[in-house]
Amino acid sequence: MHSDVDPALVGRLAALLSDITGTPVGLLGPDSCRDATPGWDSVANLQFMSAVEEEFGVIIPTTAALQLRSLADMARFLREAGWNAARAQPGCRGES
Amino acid sequence: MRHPPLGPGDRSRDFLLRWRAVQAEPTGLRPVRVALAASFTLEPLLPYLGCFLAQRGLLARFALAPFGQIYQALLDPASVGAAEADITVVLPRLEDLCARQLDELDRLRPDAVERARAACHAELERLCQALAERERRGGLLLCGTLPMPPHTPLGVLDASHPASRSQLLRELNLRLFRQATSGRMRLFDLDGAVAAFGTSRAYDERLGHLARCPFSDEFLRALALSLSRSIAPLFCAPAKVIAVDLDNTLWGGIVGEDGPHGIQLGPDGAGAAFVAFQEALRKLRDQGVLLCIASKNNEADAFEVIDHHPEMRLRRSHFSAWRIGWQDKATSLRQLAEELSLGLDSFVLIDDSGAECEQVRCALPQVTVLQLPPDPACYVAALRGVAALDRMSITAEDQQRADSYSAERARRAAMAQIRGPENIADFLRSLELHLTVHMATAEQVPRLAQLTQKTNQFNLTTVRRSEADIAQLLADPGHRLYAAEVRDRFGDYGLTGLAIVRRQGQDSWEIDTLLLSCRVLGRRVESGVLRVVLDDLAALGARRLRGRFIPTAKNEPARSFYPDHGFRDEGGGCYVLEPLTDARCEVSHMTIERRGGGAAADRRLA
Repeated sequence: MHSDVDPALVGRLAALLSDITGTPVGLLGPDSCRDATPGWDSVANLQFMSAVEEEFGVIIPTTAALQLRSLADMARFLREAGWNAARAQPGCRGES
Repeated sequence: MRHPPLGPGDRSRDFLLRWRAVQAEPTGLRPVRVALAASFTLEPLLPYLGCFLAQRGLLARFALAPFGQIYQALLDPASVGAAEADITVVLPRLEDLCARQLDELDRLRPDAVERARAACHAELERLCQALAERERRGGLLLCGTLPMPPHTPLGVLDASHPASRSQLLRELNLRLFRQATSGRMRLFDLDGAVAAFGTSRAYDERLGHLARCPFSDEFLRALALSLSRSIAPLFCAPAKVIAVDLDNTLWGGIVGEDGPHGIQLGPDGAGAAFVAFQEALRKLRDQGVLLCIASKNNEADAFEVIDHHPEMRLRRSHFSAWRIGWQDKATSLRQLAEELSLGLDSFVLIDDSGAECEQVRCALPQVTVLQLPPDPACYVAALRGVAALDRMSITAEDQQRADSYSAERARRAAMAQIRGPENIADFLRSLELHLTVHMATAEQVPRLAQLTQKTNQFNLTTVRRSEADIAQLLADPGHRLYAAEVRDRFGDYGLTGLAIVRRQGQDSWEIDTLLLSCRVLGRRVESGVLRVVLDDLAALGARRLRGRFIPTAKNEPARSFYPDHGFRDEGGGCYVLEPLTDARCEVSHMTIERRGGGAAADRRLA
């Protein structure tokens, strides 16, 4: 079902989300969706996006932000944004 | 602190984890109820602010008003957390508060520009009235200045156009400033925090559009740190003493090796950096921080520089005490604390040597340690970064403090010449002690709160109170608050004593608080204060006065107060005096002046 999603990457995102929301990482998977996962409310979502930007060195544009609803969505976004484990470097936050 | 401290550069994830850990196990932290209201989304700030406040010993219990509900939070006692908050924090932005008026301003029609500017001023007037209303209801109040936006519609022309947004903001911030300097409200310089961080990095317009939070996540961490530095001093007493090293701290080089003329101290280069650092320390002394020296040096070499070097900004008279010799720093600090009658937890050590700093951190964990950075040009910034030195009010007593400690040195010198207890009475008489006691007034509230927060030694119950607590007691007819001012032939110590009594019944009262600043200990001032309280209560028909002694690690000097003054020991730290005429108050060595307090007859000293 999520053949296009890297399980290791989803694992890292789940660990990050778990740190933010306090939801045990075992309850989180690629299908975990915001507003349908305990603790992943709109504030936690802001914190999650900021933390993803910080940890993965990417910038999430406003246009993409609203589309990113599940961990699988976020993993796909990271891959499309050119992130891969071998080349992780901090991005810079540009002027909007 | 069990956890290593977090800084604004740490990851948001670490803050969120830490904040959950702090809330799960808040041992040893003092709970503080913080109500917040902002014109924008503030939720993401709370974990960061909670962590920074925890690092200052405070456990924040947040109550956040829904965004945009500043007026409701200020005016409606039923609004979220408003009634029981220890502190209310308000963070407005002009762009949210006056969106419509600014729209009008930006149209640039000559007749509309003035109207729109006036409308913004009127809105701010409304805000100030709401702030004043909140202030009247008690509790601490902290309002943010209006932050400069990342850009303005007029762009480069904004600096010189009648419809300038930045100029309007400056005018409105000036209005807030006037409000803060005329009342108890304090300002938090949000505008300054944005500027210091850099406007382009402080704002993140994506978050503005997505969540109505205009600020970037990394700025929210810096903002939380600065906000915690404005909040914490309202609840925790600031450090009272700075102990400085000498070589490579007050001057460059080592006086014992380079000689008094070989050290770096002067108008240019590194020497100028040391001059600037000395001046910064001297300014802190003017604000009420005592300066001491703790240095491994030959005392003669050190004073050769301190007394005679033409570029020294700090002279012998600026220091309240010193330990210059070859003992370790922790021993020096212990002795300085004893000499000044101050707790080590009110000390900040400033030293360039990593080894010395580490020795003190291990031996005396209660001392705040500032290890100076390698470049002396960064010393002043490092000093400003010491949060323990932050203060949110400066009283007249603060400003005189360093000078009155100099008077204390002279008094001790006089005392050292007196031998034997039979001469103590002579000595006390020779002090020419003068005690003025009056019912506390509203103007004294900041100083009285400060006394309850800072006095550790002669303090019978060690109840800490905020300004709001004191103001509340002042308004309560069931309590009487006596303020004591002391002077002797060595100096004027100002407002240094406080007694609070509470009515328990028709003819029965209880001492809630009786404290004396350590600056006036050893003069039997307490007997004089008790004398005035007893006379006042007797005139009100009192027959019985109860008291409690609550022992702490530091209030040994107050332990024998009740038995010494004729109170009967009832066990469990409780004492009673009945009838009041049983009291033993030896006050022949002082003159006592009783003054009326406020206007209302029942608040006057009987």
